[in-house]
Amino acid sequence: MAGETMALISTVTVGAGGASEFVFDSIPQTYTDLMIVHSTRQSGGVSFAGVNTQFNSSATGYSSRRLYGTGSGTASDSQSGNSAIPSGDANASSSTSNTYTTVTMYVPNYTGSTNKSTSSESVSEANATTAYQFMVAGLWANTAAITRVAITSTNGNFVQYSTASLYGILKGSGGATVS
Amino acid sequence: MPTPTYVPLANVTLTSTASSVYFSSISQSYRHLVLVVAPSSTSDTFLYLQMNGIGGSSYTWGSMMGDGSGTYVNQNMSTETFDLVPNVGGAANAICTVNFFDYTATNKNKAITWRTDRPSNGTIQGAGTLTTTGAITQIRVWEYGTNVFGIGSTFALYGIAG
Repeated sequence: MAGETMALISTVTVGAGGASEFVFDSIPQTYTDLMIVHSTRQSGGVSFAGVNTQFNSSATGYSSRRLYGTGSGTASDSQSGNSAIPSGDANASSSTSNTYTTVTMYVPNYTGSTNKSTSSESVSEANATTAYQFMVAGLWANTAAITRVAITSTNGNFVQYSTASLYGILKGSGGATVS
Repeated sequence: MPTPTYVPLANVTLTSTASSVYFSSISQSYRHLVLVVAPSSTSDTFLYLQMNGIGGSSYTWGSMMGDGSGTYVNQNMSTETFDLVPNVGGAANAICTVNFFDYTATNKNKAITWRTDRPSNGTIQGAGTLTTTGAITQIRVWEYGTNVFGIGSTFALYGIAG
C-alpha cells in the first residue's frame, strides 16, 4: 500500500535575537527531491530586501531567470555569475508590520550527478502599492549532490518568528510505460 | 489518524530515449494529482500533455512567461494538447510541475495548472482546461514527431488526498 512521501526533514523558527541565515546541513540522501518553504521578514530599514539560497557552501555557478509582478507592472530579468539563487524580495522593516514573505523552492533529483535546476515562487504582500510576486527558474551548475542548504538575508537579519522548513519527497516506482 | 497524502503513484527514469511516457490505470482514490517532469539535457524541443487518449480540439490553455528580458503571454484554444514549454526553446533541463484538480470528478471539465522553469531560457506559469467530464485515468507526456526525451529524464506522479 502506498504511504506518505513528503517528509519533514527539519524546521527552524527564529527567536528574539534574529538570525542572518537558515542552514540545513547533513541533508539525508535518501529522498528524490527537496522542497524548501520559508516565511521571513528582514530587519533592514527598507521595505523589501532580497533572499538568497545557496547550496553546499558554494558561491559559484548560480544563474536564474525571473518573472515578477510589482503591484503596478510586470518585468523579467536574468542573472548569472551570482553567489546564490535570488528567491525574490522579502518583506523588511519598512513594509507593512507583521507581514512576512513566503517562498517555496522545489529541487528535483538533488542527489543526482547532473547540474541542479530549481523552481521557486515567492509572495511579498504589503498594504501598499508595491508588493511582489516572483517566479524563478534557477540553476546551480554543479554536479555534486546537495548536502547543505543555506537561506540568507541581504539587509539585516531575519526577524523573530521567521521560519524555514525542509521537506524530502520520495519517488515511487513503476506504474508508467514508455514508448 | 492523518490521511496519507502526496502519495507516490508512479515513477520512471528513462534508460533509453522515448517519445512518450504513459501513466495508465491511475488510481481513483485521490482528489488531485501532481506530476513532476524533469527532462534530461539531451531531450528535444517539446513537452506536450494529453489525458485519456483525447486529442482533436479538446484542449484550451494560456500561459505567461518571462525570459529574462521580457514578458510574454501565449494562448491556444480548441487544440489537440497542452503545450508545457511554449517559447522557451525546448524541454532539455526544464522542471515542469503539473497540478490536476478534481481529476476523478464526472460533473466538470478537467482543469490543470503548471509551472515550467528552464533556467537557460525562462519561467512559465500556465493553466488549461480539457473538455471532458470523464474521470482522468491516463496521462500521456510526449514529444512531437521524431523528437525524444533523453536518457535520464524523470517522470513522477503523486496523489493528493482530499
